[in-house]
Amino acid sequence: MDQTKYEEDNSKNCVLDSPVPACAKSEPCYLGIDEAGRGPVLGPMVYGICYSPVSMKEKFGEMGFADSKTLTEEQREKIFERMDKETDTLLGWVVEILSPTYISNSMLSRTKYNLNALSHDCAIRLIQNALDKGVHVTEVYVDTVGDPVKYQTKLKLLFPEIDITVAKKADSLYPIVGAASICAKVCRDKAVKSWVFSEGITMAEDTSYGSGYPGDPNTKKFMNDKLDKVFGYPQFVRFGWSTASQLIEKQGYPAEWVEVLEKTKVGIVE
Amino acid sequence: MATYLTVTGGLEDVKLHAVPCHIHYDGKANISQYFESNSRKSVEAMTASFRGRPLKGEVINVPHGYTGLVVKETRKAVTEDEDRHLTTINKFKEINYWNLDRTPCEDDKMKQALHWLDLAKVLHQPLEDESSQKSTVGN
Repeated sequence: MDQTKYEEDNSKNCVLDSPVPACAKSEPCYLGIDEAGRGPVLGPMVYGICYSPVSMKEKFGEMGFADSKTLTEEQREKIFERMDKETDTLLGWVVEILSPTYISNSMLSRTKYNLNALSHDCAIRLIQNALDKGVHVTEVYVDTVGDPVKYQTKLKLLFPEIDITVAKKADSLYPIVGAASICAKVCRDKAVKSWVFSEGITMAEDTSYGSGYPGDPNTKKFMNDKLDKVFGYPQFVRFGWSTASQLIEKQGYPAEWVEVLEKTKVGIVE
Repeated sequence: MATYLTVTGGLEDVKLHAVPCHIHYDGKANISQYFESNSRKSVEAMTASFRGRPLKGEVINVPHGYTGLVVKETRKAVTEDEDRHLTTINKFKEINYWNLDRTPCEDDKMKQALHWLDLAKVLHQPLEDESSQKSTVGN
């Protein structure tokens, strides 16, 4: 997956997509949505969609989209390569990379924008993206984020013409979601692996960031080694995660936001 | 109490960022590496991220006829009555002014402080008798 466009400025979100096969415009299509890298404290989160004509369900199934979580990174890459060769006849895909800076800024903005809302909005943007491209979407399958009933209602209100199914573990239930999951995961893995630090930090060739979860020893090592006492962390880190904020609080210089200070003062007067 | 300012010659121009955050640290920081590397300037807006929080900014020029000075207090006064001694260490022509997730506007204290310079000028200008009389009389 060519990510040159994202690498130009990895602090900004970026949409990457395949060409739209002609059959996806002329025939009713079903579309799957899934995400990768929701939990980790490091790197971007990626949302992916994959769509294909309903009439080609059988042929699509032959591509072998099992639950992408049971596949190895190499297997996923191979499947994605195969998928990418079918973009003129069988399927199309779109991914949106949500940069860690965007995630941090959203979660720590004045009006808090939580990860669930952020995820829902990204899924909505991607459905709209496919519609705008002229894809004849009639069915949508989504792996749920939060309560599936509420999420389904929200999507149905926005896209009343489309038959929408929101389910837990949709990636293993529906091959089209499995395919979306592969697009998202391949993209996220590559973005993390080839991350170029705008801070000029260079990592040793064989560095692993680990899973990005706080318990992982490699992730822990990165979080401990790369802390800057004034600025906290490079933009690769999601500041809204308690793992990051707690370490900054413990090891960085204390910092008080002016507006919080003002509020405190008012409190004393009262 | 009096404040004495020692102005040294040959001051170097520095780039200044005013962030809406008190950092309990005084000294060198990796600004270009960790802050300027993620700040973006377009025609519409200036944005940056500090400790994960979104900042919106604007460049404020030091008014014509003034010089921006960075000063250091060589020995902190212990009591309020004691004289204070400040020494210049750098100068600046503009301030990169940052707000927390809010576009800078005229209500910001920094901007209001600069308005004082214009006000002060008007207030302290010697009155010319004729012109003041004219304005009192009106047209």
